[in-house]
Amino acid sequence: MRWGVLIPILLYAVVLLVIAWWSYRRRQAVAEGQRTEHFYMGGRSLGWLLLMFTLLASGASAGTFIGGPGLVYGEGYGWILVSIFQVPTAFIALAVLGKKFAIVGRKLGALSIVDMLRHRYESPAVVIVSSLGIVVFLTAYMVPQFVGGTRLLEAATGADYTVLLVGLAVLIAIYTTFGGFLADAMSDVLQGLIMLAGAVVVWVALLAAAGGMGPVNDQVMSTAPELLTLPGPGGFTPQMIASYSLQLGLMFGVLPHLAVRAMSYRDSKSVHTAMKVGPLVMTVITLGFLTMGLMARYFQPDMEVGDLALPTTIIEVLPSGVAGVLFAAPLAAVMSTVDAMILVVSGTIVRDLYVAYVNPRVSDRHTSLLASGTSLALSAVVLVLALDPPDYLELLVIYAIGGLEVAFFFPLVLGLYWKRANALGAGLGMAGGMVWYTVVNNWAPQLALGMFPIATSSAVALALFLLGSYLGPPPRREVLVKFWGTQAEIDRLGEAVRPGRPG
Amino acid sequence: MPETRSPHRGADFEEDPRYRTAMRELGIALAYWAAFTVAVTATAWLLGGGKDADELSFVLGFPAWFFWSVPVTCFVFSGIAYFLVRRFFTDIPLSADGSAGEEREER
Repeated sequence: MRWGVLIPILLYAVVLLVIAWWSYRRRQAVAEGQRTEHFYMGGRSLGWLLLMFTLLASGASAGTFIGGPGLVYGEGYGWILVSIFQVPTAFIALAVLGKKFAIVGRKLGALSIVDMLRHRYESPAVVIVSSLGIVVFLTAYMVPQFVGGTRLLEAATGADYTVLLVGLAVLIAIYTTFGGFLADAMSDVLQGLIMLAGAVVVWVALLAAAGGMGPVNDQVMSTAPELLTLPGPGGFTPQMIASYSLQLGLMFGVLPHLAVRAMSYRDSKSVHTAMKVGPLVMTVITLGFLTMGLMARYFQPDMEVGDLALPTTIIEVLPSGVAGVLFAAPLAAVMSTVDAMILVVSGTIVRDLYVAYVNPRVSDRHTSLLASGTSLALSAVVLVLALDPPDYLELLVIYAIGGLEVAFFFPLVLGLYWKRANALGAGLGMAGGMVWYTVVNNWAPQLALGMFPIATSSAVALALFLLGSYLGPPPRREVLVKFWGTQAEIDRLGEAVRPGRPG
Repeated sequence: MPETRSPHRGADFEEDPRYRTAMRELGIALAYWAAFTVAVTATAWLLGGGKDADELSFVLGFPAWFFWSVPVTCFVFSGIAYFLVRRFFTDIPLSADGSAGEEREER
């Protein structure tokens, strides 16, 4: 047991609990009727700092910090090349969903992308398929995150895997259950700052210890020269490289736990500042952590599990107190992603499925309690799944991401900006895209045509979406008014449309 | 942009003029994404595609193809994003009825 590493991490956990307690108190002060919105949305009050870091931290997952350096360790510079497509993600997500998403969300009182799809397509099939997609895929996505975070802690502290996993799960459960969205977003700022500082400090420290990139490259050149080349061991041909950009850049922002953040900012000044600064911050974080995967080769030339290369290196090279503070960075990345997802999955189960189809008359107070309870239960489910950890982290993560992106991108974006988009198109596109994606991934890789599976899956999803939209009837006038009309026109539609928000 | 305030009648109802602003910003973002993807892929492949490790040249300790396609391109496009938002993105109120000022906690 390395206490020098463990103590800073424990202190960090205490800070998170204080934030959760503070936001819990704040939620208690919110009026009856708005508690659920506050739990899932934080009252739509995010300023630019919160917005930017909550997007970056929730997006930059174990992939960037543990699986990513691990793959760079095994496959070289090509992996950094495709990973940097996440640099403009916050910019693109905030502009593609855009201010229209935020405005329509306010007009309709929508708290999730499923809410949005329900209003737009008025189809129980679309709502149920998308809800189940969120529950299944995001739960799957959380498992490798938990595993990654725990493995990292295991390597860092020398403590037992199971004990650490339970500790991590309990911490996440407590602050998500009591703190809700606001605690999430606030801890994201803290976590984002740690990641940013960590990326710079560890990078400089490792580089200094190695004596510059020269010795690192000499070492790589003599042991594994293919890591320096393109396509290299990862098989990064031009079409493969470009198709990563589809998954990590363009379509990433429609992931349910990120899209919900694109509805929750305060005003257009906040969103502009977040978009101006976001790419630069993401560049530093991504480049910092991923090039370290290569430096780890200099210090640990023959690790069997690539994921452990960077943590082991940090432990050996840096003094233990410093290492402990820095381990908070990747840990933070894991936690901020998982807590965001727990909220979304719990929101989907409670609001989009239970309240919408099982018991619509439930009170706000009761829903708020139910939301907390579901969050707690989810943490428990993921904990159980994570007890039996899988081998290569990043690939699992990407599998889950791709499925959701294929399902949601076209229904959301075309639904917002194309009047002809209808339920038949959305349903066909979602189902067809997800089926194709699963088939390509599991049984017929040749159908990917030498690209990342998301490329052909998106093409199939788009084609089916267009086909269905032209075959099926156009949306009702009420839907068009809700998504294109002014508030005055929406009010003219009558009470039936306006959701029951008092005051 | 002055057009944001003028009411627009496309169908048989009054459309919210703010959505045209959003539509334009969507176009800018898509163009930005396409340009970034092409820039990264092309630079990397043209400088380093299919070369063996001993044919590579190095810049600041990184393989040249990597140096130009990753750090340099990322920093350049971070700058471009800043410029695009500053120059082309419009400040508009986000409240349901389009009025400014009451955006914070409504109650």
